[in-house]
Amino acid sequence: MLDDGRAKRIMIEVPVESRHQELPLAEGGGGGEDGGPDLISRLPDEVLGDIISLLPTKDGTRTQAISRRWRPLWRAAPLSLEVGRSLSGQDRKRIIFATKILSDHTGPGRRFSLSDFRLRDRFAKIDRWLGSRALTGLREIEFSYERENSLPRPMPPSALRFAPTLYEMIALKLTTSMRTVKVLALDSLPNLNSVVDFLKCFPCVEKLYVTWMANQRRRLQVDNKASPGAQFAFGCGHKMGYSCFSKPDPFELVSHEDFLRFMHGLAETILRTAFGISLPK
Amino acid sequence: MEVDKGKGEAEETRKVAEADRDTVTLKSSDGKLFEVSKEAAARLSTVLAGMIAGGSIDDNGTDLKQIGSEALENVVDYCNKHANSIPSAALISSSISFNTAPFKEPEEWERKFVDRLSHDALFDLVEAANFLGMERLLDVTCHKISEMMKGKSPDQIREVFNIKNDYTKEELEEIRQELAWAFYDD
Repeated sequence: MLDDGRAKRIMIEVPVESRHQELPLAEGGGGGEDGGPDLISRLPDEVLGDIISLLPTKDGTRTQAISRRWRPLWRAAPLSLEVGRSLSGQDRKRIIFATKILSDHTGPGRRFSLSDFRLRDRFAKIDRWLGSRALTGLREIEFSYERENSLPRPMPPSALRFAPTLYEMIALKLTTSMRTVKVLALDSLPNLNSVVDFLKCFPCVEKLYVTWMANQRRRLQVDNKASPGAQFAFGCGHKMGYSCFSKPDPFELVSHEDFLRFMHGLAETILRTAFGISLPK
Repeated sequence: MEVDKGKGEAEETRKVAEADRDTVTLKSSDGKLFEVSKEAAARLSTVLAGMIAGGSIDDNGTDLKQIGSEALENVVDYCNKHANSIPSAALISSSISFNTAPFKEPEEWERKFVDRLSHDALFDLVEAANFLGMERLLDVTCHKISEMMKGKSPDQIREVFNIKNDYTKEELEEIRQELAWAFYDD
């Protein structure tokens, strides 16, 4: 596993010249107006790309205007696109900006977040967004539609293309079984018995994580035949920062030891695949 | 022949002793030696893990010619702190959430660790982390740099990091127009 991590890092370090920009010595060893050294521009492209990916979408885009060295970086840095208020206060503009970003960027995608999205007739549009090159290899996807409309809203079908790379997924409704999922989180289950049936759609699940409503808390009888070799963990929610889900309901603790073992396993898993999926009510 | 054989055995014994040690000694570009837990080094650095597994660790100090002593001290310090911070149950339940993202937010101690660094030391550490394949330390240091850039205009960013603006006025105007949406709040 460690070798994999290393290979990944080394793979993208290929052309030595482009990795390490020498200081412009003619400028007295510094790039800035006051002569201090420009340390950041010396970093390799992929490290600068990581930094750009950590910025809010707008800030990341603006880095192209810093200098020539920075100009090509944003386009190829893993895209982190948050279609929310931070992009624009106006719903209509958010759509225009997101469409533009997705057509300008060459990918890969790191994170795509659509929060409190006013769906209206835009289902086909977001499906197209998710199909764009900019989001290839997406690691995280987060969806929440505006609540005023209580109809269950499905994930756009193109989201399924991310199943092999996704690491985190928060969706309102599951449309198709994702057969390769190894770690599965179920949020706010209406009925625990449905878990066992539901698991049959996920033959590869190794770790299952469940939250449910406080008044329905009881032990889940796990049928191992449903998902052979599966490992089940139910944690205590209060301290867990389970904030991505709308209802941070307490987890049931089956066994403290099992839970800790589970969390250890999760922390050490390099792939760290995690899906959070809500069942339709 | 006899002597050679004896030497070989001694070599063998030394190697075994090395393998048994639970620390590794690292040598900075300026010749300073640092000791770090073998377990932490192997867990946090893919390059050191590879060297340990491949037996290319030198008992008298493994040469890391690309890393200065200040950066190496920080690397070692980070490894030791990391080793000590795991795995208490309290920490697990409070900080390792299920929704752990690839770029997980730095923990409190990691934040403090990078916050105390000077500008120069921070960038030396980023380069060291990148060189040693220390994914997590790279995340934490990159996160710190991104925090320094967040919410700032390109002008302000240039100022913070001493970046020379090598665009012509015309070029810059063109870029600003192309990215107009990213320059204004609404």
